[in-house]
Amino acid sequence: MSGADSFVNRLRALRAAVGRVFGWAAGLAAFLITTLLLGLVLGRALGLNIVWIPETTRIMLVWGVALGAVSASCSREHFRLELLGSGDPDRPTVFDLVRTSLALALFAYVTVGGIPTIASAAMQAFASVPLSYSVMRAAIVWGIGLMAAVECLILIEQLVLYVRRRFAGVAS
Amino acid sequence: MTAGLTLVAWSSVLLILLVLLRFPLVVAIGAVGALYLVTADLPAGTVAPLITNAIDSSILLAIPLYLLAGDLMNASGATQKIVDFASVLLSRVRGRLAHTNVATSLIFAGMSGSALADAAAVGKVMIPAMEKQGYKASFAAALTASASTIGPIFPPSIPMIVYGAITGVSVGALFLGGVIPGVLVALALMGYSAFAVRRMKLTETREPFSASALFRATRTAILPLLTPVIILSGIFTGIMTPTEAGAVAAGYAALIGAAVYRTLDFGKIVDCCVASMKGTATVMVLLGFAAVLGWMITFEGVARDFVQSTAGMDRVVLILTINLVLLIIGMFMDSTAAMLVFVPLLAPLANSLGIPPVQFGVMVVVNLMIGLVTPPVGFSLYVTARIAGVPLHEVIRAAVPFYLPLILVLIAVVVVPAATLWLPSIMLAR
Repeated sequence: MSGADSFVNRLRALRAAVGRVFGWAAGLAAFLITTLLLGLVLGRALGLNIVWIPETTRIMLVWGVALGAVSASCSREHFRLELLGSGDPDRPTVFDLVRTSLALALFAYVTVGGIPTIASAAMQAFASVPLSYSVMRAAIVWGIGLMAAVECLILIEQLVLYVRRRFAGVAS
Repeated sequence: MTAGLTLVAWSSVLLILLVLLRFPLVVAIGAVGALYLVTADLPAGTVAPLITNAIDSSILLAIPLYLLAGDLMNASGATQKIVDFASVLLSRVRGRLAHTNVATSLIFAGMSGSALADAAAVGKVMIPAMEKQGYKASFAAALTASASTIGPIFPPSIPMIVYGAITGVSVGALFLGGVIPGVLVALALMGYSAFAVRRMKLTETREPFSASALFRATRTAILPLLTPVIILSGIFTGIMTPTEAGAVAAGYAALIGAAVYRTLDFGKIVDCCVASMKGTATVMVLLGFAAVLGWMITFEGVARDFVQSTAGMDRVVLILTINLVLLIIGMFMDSTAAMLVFVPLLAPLANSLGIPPVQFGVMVVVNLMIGLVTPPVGFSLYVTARIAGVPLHEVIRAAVPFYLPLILVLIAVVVVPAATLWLPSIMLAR
């Protein structure tokens, strides 16, 4: 195995591990949302009004989505049109590099623009939990920031494979 | 054409181009929105609040819950029990497995609300079983994909939840509005299947109807069969909201699988939770970025211009055009993204044409669900072709005849308002 292959495999293993960890965290959010809402229904049947559950589950949804989106980015599960073939991840083309670069640029644009809005969202407080809307805003901004980081890893992988193939072509 | 409408036209062209060039949908939609902000000299900080506001919704909270309920039902083996029940019920009918496939999709539709979950769950059980009995794999895959469209039409329905979140129309009323169209799709697909199987060389046997066999199958499947009853009665008696009903469905599915069938262990439940939230995330991130386009449409006053530009045009022509546009959009875009971009534009037009909001909501969903079985972006076809192990183009070819029953139901939804409005009028009037 060449040094480039070994480097790419290490990057892929890192991406898979990050995807698993974020996937488990997102799954935990799904479990907690289900449990809390079940508690809300049962509580209501028993005459209890647990007011903090609706806002807490909404916060968990936003965090779950942010974590799940990072995990889906790691395993490249975001919807795309595959009718014309899905491409070979081991043989990236210039188009693949352009696609990943645009994704990286978009996510970086949203993150950089979004960071200052986290603080401004702190002005808006939840009614039943001692938190502000910046909790949700932070989940989205940092989630998209992590998606940018994942795209960066994928771009490095693709660049290494692309350059190696080009040089191999020149050498042969 | 006004500046706003020109902007939307160019944005749509760019979006379709990026989708065809295999950009992930979220990147394609996000790039169009970001390009608008840059060219309009608006701050990048506009995006994050719009995405957060789009995702922060107690209605959309239902999405991971119904996905989880469907995943848990499937992982617990409940799908197989429902298939066995439907198969015994239809044992005398020629083309039993084709009809069983559709009937199972209808029952599963009452639990999950997602076409892709239905296609995967029913397809994994039914496609191999149909192949063994002499059905062509491409036919089985096309039928499963077509029947999966019942999932989001019959309640509960994730696209209807999204539609309700965008327009403020009652999700309960939309759910009720989808009952008759969902059953009509099932009947229409069974009707076509009955015709299609006459030309097939099937090895499946027609067995005499046995009340004791039906009793046994019902007893085995009764717990999952009760799920739609629990969800719908809970919502329509006002005991729980559609979102809470999703949590009850997921909790009930976990209870059946872990305590009754003993097929669900901790690891499988964790896997289902992870899959449901990852599935939700891929939809919700799309929804968040599409909110930027929805905001652009509002900010530019495009919906108003659009309604004004159609003033004086013939009502029938406009309704026909709306449906054609929705069908074409459904061929290229995911239903959630399509609704977020186009519903803010089309709903005011439908309102000005006097189409009731519930009828229009169901109409939008039926149109976009047909897009799940049409190329180039036919997600249900992708799923079932993969399960069947046949090339996508073969499944697409086999799916073409199924468009007719689906279009007939769409026409019924458009032409007969009672098909969508009668149930809400009698159930919600009380």
